[in-house]
Amino acid sequence: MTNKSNWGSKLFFVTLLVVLVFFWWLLIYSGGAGHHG
Amino acid sequence: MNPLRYHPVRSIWRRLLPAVMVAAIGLSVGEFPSVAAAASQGAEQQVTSVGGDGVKNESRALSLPAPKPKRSDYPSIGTSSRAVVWIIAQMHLFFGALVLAVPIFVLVIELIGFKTDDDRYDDMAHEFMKVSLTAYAITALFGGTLALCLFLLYPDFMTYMTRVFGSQMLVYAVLFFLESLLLYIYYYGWNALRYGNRKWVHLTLGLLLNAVGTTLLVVANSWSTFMMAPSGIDPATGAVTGSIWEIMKGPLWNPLNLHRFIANIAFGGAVVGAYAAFKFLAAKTPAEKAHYDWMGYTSNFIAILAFLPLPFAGYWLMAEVYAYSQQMGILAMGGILAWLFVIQAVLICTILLAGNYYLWTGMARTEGGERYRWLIKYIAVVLVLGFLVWVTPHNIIYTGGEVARLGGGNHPVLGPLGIMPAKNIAVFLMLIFTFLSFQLYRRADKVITVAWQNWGNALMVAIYIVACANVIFAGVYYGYFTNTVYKVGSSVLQVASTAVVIVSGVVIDTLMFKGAKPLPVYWGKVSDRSQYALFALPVAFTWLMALMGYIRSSMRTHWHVYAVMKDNSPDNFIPPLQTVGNMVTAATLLFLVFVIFIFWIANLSDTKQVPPATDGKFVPAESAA
Repeated sequence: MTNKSNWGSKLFFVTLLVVLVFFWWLLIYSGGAGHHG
Repeated sequence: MNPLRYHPVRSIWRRLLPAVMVAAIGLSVGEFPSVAAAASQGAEQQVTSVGGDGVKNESRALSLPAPKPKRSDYPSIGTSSRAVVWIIAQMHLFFGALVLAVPIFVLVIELIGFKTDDDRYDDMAHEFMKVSLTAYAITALFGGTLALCLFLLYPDFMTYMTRVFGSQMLVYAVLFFLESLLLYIYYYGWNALRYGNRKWVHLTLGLLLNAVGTTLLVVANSWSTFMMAPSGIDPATGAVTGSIWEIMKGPLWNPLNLHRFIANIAFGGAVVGAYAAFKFLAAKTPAEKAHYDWMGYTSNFIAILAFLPLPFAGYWLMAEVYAYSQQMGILAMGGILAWLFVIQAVLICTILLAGNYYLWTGMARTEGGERYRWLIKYIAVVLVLGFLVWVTPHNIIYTGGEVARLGGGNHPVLGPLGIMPAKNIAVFLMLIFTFLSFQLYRRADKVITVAWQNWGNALMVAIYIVACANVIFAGVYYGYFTNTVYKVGSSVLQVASTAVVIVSGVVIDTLMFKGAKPLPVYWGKVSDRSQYALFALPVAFTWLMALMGYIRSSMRTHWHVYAVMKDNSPDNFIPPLQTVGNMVTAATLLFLVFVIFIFWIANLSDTKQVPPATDGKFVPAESAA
């Protein structure tokens, strides 16, 4: 069962994960992995 | 025409882009009507020149070659357009670096404060943001002015850039709005979201603020790296051939992203350190002095910690520059621009000396610092010798008589110190010994109690000795007694040796500090002299950024976009070094004037006027109201 009292920390760490994935996508993956203009 | 590339929405955006982008930036600086009118006119001209219906316009616009402006196509304003754009762009970059970097370490400090339940961290983080907030408005002002200057003074170049980057520039404008929104909520919501889950919401907002800020940084970086090493276009004509990802992801993009990201943090730390020093010197009470002493220490810690890995990012960037174009790399590090690397050496050594000096004086805060005082003179000797080797030029301009006396173009004794292997040895030893100062500072307020402390110390000393020997051996042997391939490769060994010292130092200390007995630290009991080291740091950092930014940009020589779009303006040459020195110094001084203004504004917001007296009697504020 989910503990509703600490939803704030979950929000933060899920956002952190999303941000990290976003930057991996933007800086490395976007336009196809390994693509190098 | 390539039908796959046509997209109606993209077509509309491309037409509207210049107007929307400049209007968006103009709105933020209160210049909306005039900017929007000018930009709309520009957009119409672009559409007219393309002609026809939407589909044809789109493909034609993309397949158009890069413009070849004549000298007369550059508007004359009676002074050097390059000088105007140079100063404005540099100011925008300074302030941009500051406002993007400060929230990064503010978030970390806020998180530490929250997890340790120590309000001092939270208050300090909030105060750092106050400096950043004032700087943000100035960043936007210079950004708007820069966009105006570029569109007015380099219209063909900007037409080409907007054609190449298309709606990506609109994304930048949207991100700018998001950044503003999040920044204001983050700063003004600080006390409303202070405890429990609300604090986590505040931290999440800070995280999003940094994500948006860093995205802004990398988007803007793609414009700079495209100008240096264009991709996603036909190299012969400059016509767009690739997607926006191919254009953005040129060979220099990620090296520059990393270099600027780290450098911004070091720069931001140095500037807020100067703020703390300013407040420390102006403090009236011991409590205030203690607070700002601690704030200055934290800022210096951030600046130097971010500064230590910076040379590695710099090496990566320059390696990619060489890989892209040897000519460009040699111009930077072996041609006329190489002279400026000697100035770079002076500035970096100033940073290292100031940072180390601040740490040494800081050891006076605790009685435990006495134990390590004897080591300082040896560290100082290494730093000064490293400084001298690093600033030794390979050759200088001699008179005939001087060459005759020397017996050649190089000094017989000092000549070998002028090339990279000697400088690499100096740089890495200086970094290793700066880390030693850090390590001693961290140990100064503790008595280590673990049973294996002698073994731990012996291991640490052994690591230092082996690393220094490795740095010297790799530099001397591979640098002077083998061929060039090994010479370049030897720097990898030196980087690895330095990294081993830093990483193992942190790990060994972390384990040794378990159960350590803390010694009292007297915050505020530091000399005023040490605060001037905190002032020296941002001055040297600012100068360094202006100098190295100029070198990076100047590597394009007479090209707006390297080997694709020629610069035909009256300024299409590398200026004399004296001009460079004057321009870089002017930008630095101007920035420092603005920084003093920001400190004054931040101080002003804490100042309350005493209510006026009536009939010679003091009237409390409540009664006066």
